[in-house]
Amino acid sequence: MHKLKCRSKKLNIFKSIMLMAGLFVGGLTNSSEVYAADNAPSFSLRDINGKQVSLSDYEDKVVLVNFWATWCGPCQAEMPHLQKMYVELEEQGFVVLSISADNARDASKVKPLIKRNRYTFPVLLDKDSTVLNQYNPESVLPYNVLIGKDGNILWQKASYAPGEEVELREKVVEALGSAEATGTPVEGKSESASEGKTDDNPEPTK
Amino acid sequence: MLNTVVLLGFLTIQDSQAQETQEDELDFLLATLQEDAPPPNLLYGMGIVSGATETKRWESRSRYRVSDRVEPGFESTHPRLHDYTEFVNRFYYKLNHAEKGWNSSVQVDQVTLGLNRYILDDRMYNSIDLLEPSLFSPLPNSFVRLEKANLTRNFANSKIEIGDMGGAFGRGIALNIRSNKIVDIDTSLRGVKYSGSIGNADFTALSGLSNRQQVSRDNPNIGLYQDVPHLINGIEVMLYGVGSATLGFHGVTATFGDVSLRNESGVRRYEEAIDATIVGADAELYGVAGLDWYFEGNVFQYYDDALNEGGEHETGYTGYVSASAYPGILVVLMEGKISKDSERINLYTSIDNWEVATPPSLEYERMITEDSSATVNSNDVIGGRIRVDVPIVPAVFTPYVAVSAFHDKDLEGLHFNIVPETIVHPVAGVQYTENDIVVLMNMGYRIDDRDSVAELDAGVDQGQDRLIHFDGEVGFPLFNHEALELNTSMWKFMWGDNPVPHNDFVTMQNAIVWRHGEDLDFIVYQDYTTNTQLQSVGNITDEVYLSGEVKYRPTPETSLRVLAGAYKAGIRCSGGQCRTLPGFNGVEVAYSSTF
Repeated sequence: MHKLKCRSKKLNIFKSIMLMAGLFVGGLTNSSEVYAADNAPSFSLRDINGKQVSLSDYEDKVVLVNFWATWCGPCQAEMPHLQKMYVELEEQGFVVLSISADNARDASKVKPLIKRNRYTFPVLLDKDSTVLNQYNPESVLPYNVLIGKDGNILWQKASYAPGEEVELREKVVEALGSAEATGTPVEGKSESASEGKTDDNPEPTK
Repeated sequence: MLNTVVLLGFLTIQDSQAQETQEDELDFLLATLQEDAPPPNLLYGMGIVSGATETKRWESRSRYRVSDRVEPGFESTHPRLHDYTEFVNRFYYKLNHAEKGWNSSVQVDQVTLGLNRYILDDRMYNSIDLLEPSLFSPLPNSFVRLEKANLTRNFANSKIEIGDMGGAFGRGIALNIRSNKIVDIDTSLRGVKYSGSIGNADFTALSGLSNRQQVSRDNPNIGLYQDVPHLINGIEVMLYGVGSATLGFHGVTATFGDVSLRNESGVRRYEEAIDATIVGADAELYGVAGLDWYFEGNVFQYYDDALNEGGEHETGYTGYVSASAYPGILVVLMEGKISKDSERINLYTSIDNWEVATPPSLEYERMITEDSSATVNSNDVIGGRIRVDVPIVPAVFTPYVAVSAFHDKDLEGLHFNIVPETIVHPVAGVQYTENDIVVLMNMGYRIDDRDSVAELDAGVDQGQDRLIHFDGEVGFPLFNHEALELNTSMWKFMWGDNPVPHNDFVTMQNAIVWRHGEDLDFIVYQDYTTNTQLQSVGNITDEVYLSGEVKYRPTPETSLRVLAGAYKAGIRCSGGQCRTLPGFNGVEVAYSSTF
């Protein structure tokens, strides 16, 4: 039987561990606040009815860019909460820009999903992932990016688990900076009223 | 900043005012300072990047891979010679200048193998090589590559991209190149893309050489080789608001590189003859006869001998139609497809695990098998699917039924059958989401009946392939910030008669997730399969795999994940691209941070 002799292995392990440790410490020591102040990359996409929608159309609003896909279970779980938030806070200057990250081949599935769930926020198609790659290079879905009125990214987060919509709502209300935006639905504009709304793509501010 | 100076002066001469007033003013001052403060990652200076913001992201995977192979002649108790370590790093750097309308990004990939050679008494017993000769690295166990680079400049009504980008026309039948990280495929076109709008018309023109990712993030990095650049040119014109319709026209040309000449410069493609062209048109009509319609037709022309098999398949075509209707509370989606010799366009690239074009498959891709992936990639198939959703309580409770049917006449490639097949696949499911409770369930039965063709089967009934499947996801809150999530999928596959016998098999994949607050998850995975075609072995028994994972998110921009145990190999499809993902046994530590 042979005895073991692993010199070359030990050297490789040592080099690799040192490299990993260096990169790890480098990553942790950078402030997360720096990241949150990034300018939001501009984009222009077609919505599910063929209308052109640009991020710059919503310059004076707090925008939640929500990346999702028809095949993504957690996305389906999160979207009803986004619809509720959109209905309640729309008049205070909040908009959800929902971007389908579905492949071009699945584009026919997007509108039926929106229709069956009676979502009323704008839904855009990013068929070649151009916008997804700019905001979310790891392509994790769902992915939310909260953009302030000044066009800076205030907060972003990948994935969704039940209950996390509470944190998201807090961030949106904080961004709106309005005492009125405390969670009470706007008078005369209940959620059920919005369900009858047929326009999938409300007009942008300009 | 001028506001700030004025405010400071104002506050200085208000000494005599009440303390309460001063506090109010200080609050106002602080708020103003905060508003005036530039983003902390803003770049200063006089150069072209002045005023841009920067973002960096680092993803890391460290793995200890356990192998079951035993080196002959070594005692069974010694450390395993074929185990090795793998360190994969991916670094993104992004500059964004929103005011001037440009952004730029680069992605650098790096991989290092460790414990990958065993030398005893000057004899090499085991060597796991990172690189094949077509790729060079000064360190044989380490490789670094500038994987992606992109510069995008936005103008008022147009945009130009230089570097790595995706491209998709219509429903992806003629061109559909994009990163698909779910199955660890990240191919881009490296070149130029110009897109713009004039009135109600959009146009896109692109030209680039394919750039397949060299370093895999999730799959084993063994024997990496130089990818062959293929030249893709394309143009698309879209006309919006033509009555109630949108019309589109597109054309694509492809010049493929020879896989035997991997080190040849991709620039050579520009000198070579075109191997294939695709021209197509599409129309989307909104609310015509109460339905939303989509039509697309494409014609493929192959000039290359390998693509047209010596002139036997010089042309191909694909037609696709979808119609969605909303009668009462129902939502109905109908799709149809006919395709002949259009998958040939992927002949050269599927060797490298990516595809130029991926048309809609109409298959239930959440549950894919060797059999159904053959239909996805068929060169001679006609079929349709209808799905009816019944949103009893919209966005809360929606059951659905769907049925797809195909006639697949292709007998090559992944097909194991010797006669054409007729496929029927009903699926039913339900979606329930309310009060933080999530229930998603789907089940179906796929029957793949082999036709009777006397000249092919000599009068012997070839039987049926059958698949019965169920998948579900249930999530619900427990107490305080705790939540539980259960995921399961199981399927049983029964083969018909094949020239090469295959065994029927049962497969299960289960996971239990305990979410402790928003930042900490504990997960237990359990796989089971009797599929002998898979190249993986369980760590509990040969058929049973068990692993545990902890995910921790210390800050919104940082995540840490540790996985230990084993999971099985298997086919996974996403976006029309299927890949046989290898199994895993060992330990993985993953870290990602944006800063």
